[in-house]
Amino acid sequence: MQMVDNARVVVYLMAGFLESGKTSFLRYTLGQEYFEIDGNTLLILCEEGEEEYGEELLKRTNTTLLTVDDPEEMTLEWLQEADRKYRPERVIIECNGMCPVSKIEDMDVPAGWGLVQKLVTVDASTFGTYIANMKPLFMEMVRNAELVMFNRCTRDMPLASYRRNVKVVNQSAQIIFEGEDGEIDNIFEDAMPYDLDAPVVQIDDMDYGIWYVDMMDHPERYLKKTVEYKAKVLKPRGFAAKEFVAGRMAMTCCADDTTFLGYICRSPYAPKLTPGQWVKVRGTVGYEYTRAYGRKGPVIKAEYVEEAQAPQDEMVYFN
Amino acid sequence: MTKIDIISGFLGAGKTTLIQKLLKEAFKGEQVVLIENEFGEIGIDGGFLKEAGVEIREMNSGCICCSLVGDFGASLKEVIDTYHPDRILIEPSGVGKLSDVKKAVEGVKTDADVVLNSATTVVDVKKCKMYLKNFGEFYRNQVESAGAIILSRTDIADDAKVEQAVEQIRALNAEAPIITTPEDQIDGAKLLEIMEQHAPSLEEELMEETRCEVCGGHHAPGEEHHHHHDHEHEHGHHHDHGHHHHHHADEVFGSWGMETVKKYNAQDLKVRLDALGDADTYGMVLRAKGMVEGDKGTWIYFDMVPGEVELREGQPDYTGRICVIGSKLKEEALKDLFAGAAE
Repeated sequence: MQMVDNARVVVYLMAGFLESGKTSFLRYTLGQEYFEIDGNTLLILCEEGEEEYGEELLKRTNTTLLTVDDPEEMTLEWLQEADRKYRPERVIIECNGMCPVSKIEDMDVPAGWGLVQKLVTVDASTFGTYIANMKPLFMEMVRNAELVMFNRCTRDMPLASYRRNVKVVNQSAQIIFEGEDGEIDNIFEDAMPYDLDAPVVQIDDMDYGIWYVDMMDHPERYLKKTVEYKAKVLKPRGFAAKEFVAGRMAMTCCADDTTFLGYICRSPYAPKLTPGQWVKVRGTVGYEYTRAYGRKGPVIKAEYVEEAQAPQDEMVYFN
Repeated sequence: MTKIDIISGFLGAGKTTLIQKLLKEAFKGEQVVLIENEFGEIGIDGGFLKEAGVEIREMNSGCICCSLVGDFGASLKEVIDTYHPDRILIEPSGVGKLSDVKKAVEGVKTDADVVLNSATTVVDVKKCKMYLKNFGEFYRNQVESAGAIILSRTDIADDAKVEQAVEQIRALNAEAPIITTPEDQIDGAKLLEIMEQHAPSLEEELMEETRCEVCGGHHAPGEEHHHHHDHEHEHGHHHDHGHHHHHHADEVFGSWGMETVKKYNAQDLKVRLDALGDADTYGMVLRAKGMVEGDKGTWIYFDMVPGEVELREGQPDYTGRICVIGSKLKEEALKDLFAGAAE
């Protein structure tokens, strides 16, 4: 399934574990004026939890509900048949939380169908155990998602850490936390594990992931500050002689799914560095457009780069 | 010989609570190693475990994309060689198949002196139906492969919900005892006995009690032995229990049983048991025995021989059970009689 401009039929993917609030969210959204369309909506349910859509709502919004008991049933032929029969202008697929979302994302869809949005709901109260035990499933849900909504949040939950779990695979996702009394913001009041006001902000080996994500999110907090951290040297092709990337491998999903997370550094020492070696970097944080990022992002002007011992555990973890 | 007990169940089902109970009440004095393949919410109380002499091993792959079996066998073997424990408790990943874990344990048997002692699945009674519908294979597998099933949160679910869950589980697993009584009402040692499936079934008990000492078979009191000499009197068949509505090879005597979570009123139950004497309606009842939850919060144990019904209070059993033996039993009528218990 591709993201398509001017698709004949727009497809929304609603992902999230069972009981995470997918149906409640969709029921609310379907009823809103801004979500009204003239044509038909096809709602495909791959999961049936406790919540239901009422007949009245479906009728009022010209929505046909189809239920898929086994995700394998949903084939191209099946979708083509539905396309012919119901002539939808819009298709909403409520995914089964135990079935990898990539299966749906990778499937062939009828001609003219195009994905417009992928949304995820998360029950914050079970998130801790679910992420610990079903991380690959969750990472597939949030990868490429536009919006990730954590509901049933309370202020005593480590929401900042939940947020990092999403950010590590999807930097552009909008992440919302909802509690009993509506949206919870200012979740970043919680102190970082390092002192941002120190003359040199020391990033401990174990805090690398937290720092990486926070600086991505809030470059303004780090701008013009001096940071010191340990990382591995990478010299991608096409980089200028005095540029390199200092970063570390992070376990975004599991041992089989890791990503290199690093920022571009500029240093006169760069030519002397060997790719793969561990270094301690001290430098000032800037924020600028680079081709490698494809957008604006943090760039470190390194005043000091020195060979260093690899950290005890080379891998970066996010929980 | 190291006993291996597996406690399976989906995340949040109540595995940790069960393990804590067993450690306190059933495994006292044993050297136990706990292998966790899941990252739980409520951490097992480390201090308590230390005191109890329990070693905890966490397996690194609490992740469904990494296969369990490969290094699991090696890890198990290492635990046995290092600690020589009396017992190894395994808490596998809540999103894995129980049959895979059992297979892995069986695989170690050739290299180490171990026995798979029990494989229990904890099922949250309130989620059972929804999880069975949406989770697919791994969840069904946990139910199908279990030697015993413990329903959790039955204390806060209504009877209809519990009955529905029992029915769904029975359809997938005909043999396993299903524990419906809230865990905290049953002693851990007794719970373990049920998990191990070492406790005789009610039917076995009853058959044993009514077995004629002279001929080893079953017959109504007063009947002469030689009337039934064409019976097969040597029966191993008493042991293939588990099926309810099961007829024994005894030509004349059969048994009928049911499991129930209904709450019975003692007077009402007595009236029903008295009615069993009506041979035209229910068949020729020789004995009836059972234990059911009473409506006053205690359990009622009953014993019936024609013309005599005895009821007494007793300890909670793992689920309400009723067994009737006799000849030409009319199962539908019996079912109606006991299913229609007054609330």
